[in-house]
Amino acid sequence: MKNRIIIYSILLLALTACEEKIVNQFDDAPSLFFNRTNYMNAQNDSTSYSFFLAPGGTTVDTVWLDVRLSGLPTGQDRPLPLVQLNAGDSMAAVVGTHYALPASPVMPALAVSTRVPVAVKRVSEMDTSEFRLIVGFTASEHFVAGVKEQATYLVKISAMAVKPVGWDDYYNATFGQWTQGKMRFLIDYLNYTDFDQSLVDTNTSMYLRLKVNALLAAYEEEHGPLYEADGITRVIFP
Amino acid sequence: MKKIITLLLAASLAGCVEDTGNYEYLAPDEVSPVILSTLEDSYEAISLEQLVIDPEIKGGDNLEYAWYIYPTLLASAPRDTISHDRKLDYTVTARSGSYYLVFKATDKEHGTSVYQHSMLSISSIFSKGFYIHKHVNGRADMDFVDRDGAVSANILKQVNGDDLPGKPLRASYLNNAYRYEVTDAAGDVTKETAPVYILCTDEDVSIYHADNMQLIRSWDEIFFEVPAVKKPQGIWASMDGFMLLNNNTLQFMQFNTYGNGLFGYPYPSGDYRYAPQAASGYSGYCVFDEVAGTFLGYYPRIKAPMTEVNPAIPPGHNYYDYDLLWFRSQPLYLYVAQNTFAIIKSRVDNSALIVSPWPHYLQSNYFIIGGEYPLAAGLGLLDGKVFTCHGGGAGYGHNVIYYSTGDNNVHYYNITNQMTKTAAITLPVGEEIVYLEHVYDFYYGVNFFYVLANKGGDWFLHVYDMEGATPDINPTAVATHTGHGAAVNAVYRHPDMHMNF
Repeated sequence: MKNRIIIYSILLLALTACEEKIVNQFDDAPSLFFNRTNYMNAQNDSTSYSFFLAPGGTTVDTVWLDVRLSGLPTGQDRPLPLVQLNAGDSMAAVVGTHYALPASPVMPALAVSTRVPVAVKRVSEMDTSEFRLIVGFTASEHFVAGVKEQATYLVKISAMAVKPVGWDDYYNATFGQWTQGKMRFLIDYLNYTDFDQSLVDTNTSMYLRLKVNALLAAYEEEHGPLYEADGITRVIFP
Repeated sequence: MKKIITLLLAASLAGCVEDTGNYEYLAPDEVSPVILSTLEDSYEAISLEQLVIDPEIKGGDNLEYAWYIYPTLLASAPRDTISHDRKLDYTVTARSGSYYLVFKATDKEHGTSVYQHSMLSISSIFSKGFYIHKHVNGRADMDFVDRDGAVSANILKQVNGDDLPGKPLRASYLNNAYRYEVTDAAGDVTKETAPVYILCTDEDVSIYHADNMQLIRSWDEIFFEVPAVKKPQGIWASMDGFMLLNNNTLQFMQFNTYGNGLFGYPYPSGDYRYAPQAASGYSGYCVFDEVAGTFLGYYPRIKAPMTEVNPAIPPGHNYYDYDLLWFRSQPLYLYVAQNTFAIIKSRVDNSALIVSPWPHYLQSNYFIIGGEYPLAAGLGLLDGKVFTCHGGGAGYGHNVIYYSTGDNNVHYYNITNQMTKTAAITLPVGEEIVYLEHVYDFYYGVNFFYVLANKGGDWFLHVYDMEGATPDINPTAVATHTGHGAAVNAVYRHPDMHMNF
């Protein structure tokens, strides 16, 4: 009897070793998450929008949310259950006043991603304050709760000068240390607003440096020295 | 039952037994192709000409072939398959440079391959020879004298269908460092690197691909912002870029990995009036301000010119209130300019000097004037209109300045012993010398002299050997070439020489 058990065990092991493994196909319920782009080796979980960087007079602009699908696409548009998660909190953006979401955003048929426009609106308080909009998804008949770490996205809205993320790495050599007054001059006179670039080309850097110095010299000839908001610190470029 | 179990067990376990095989082994020469001939150690080819290699193969009915090349300096670069035939008959379209050449024969039945390796050096027809810059009826073009002495006239018009307006001022050749953006039909932008030849006339500037002289950038495409006034006055090359003098403003183009091949914002010219002569070095430039009569140093990463001179190196000061007679760098090898000479004459007492402002090391916020050599009054050198200097410089060549008064004679002045040698070369009567050059490369041993002259609407190029390692020139021309048009100057290009200033 003991031998039979051993023999059958060996036989069973030998035969099962040859069994083909069947990989389960994805059959989970679809969910949504916010794509976080990799910017300068960091995963973005938020966007800072400042009207300071927009052309003068801009009162409405658009911030795009990159929404991704986990699961299978379908043949029909599916409503995106986007909601504000921080309504009523201190410094929370107020719908209609500071922002607006599209009325009926959808995940298009056969798509696995979509971009949702968020209209941001300028108010005077933004000159000194920052308003926060945290968006997320509610459960719906089409989607279940998705990846927890990417289930929300923060949009910060202001009109204040914000130091660009890559300034110290890519702009110091061209424009010197960051200041609000310097930033304003770059935007208004050099018309330079794309601070997401990695400014590593010395030829371009020198072109910008010489030009901004020439523009500042022309400004000062007409208006006198340019100062920061404190009225003491003079705006200069290297 | 036991038998059945045993059989099943045996059958299932047999699948795990290592298959040691039972094959018939053949000798390699029975299954691999056999190349009977041997490739040469190296081959030389000219761009757009045929490269033919005919290897001998044993058998061959069941073989397939591949010839491919890849750059020696970048072994990881993709291989370029240039033929699938046994006999290579290749129109050389790869860029100039050195390559590994590989011939591969594969037995289709057995899948076995054999290889032979060689070296391939590709040079352009334009990579060795003289570029004569000339003008006819207000249009500028180049005649090219190739390595065999054949003269191709008007190559800009021949290659591009158009020449340039104006009279040639200066031109520079710079090998593989110019990077520029190319937009394809789909709108995608890629960056190309090319050896380039830049020509500046008094009305225009264009950049040509130095392998085929095709126009790659015209005036409207070489600036971040196209200048409002188009009045070019000269172009100079350094190791990593160009300096353009246009309408009395200086603009620089720096080469680097991320570069875009554009001239930057003009430096403020203030009260300066730049002389159309300059000297360049590694990455810096020395120019002369005709208003103050002084030298200025420019380093394209510092936003203002330098007027200060390193006080630790004699004479340790800059010069003011001088007129400039002549100014240029002295080539040594590769991208290196060893010395720079300028002849200046005081506005105060009319005394004349040779000085050596160095364009190197300008990133230190000062430049160097590395020597001062007083010139005796009445010296023939001071009557010169056309000048050049001996290549090399301190420790390599001779501190000698060759000159002509614009007639048919070449003289030289030796700074070291203050001796003048007159009529070192005499051209045929009636020829008027417009350009002199000592072609020298310390590293590759290039060492000869040429004289460019005009007569009766034609140009004449005379080439001479040097007398060994002396500054003397063997006065018997080893070659003379001629063409139509009024020549202004010339560039000699050699495959191993990286640039001219």
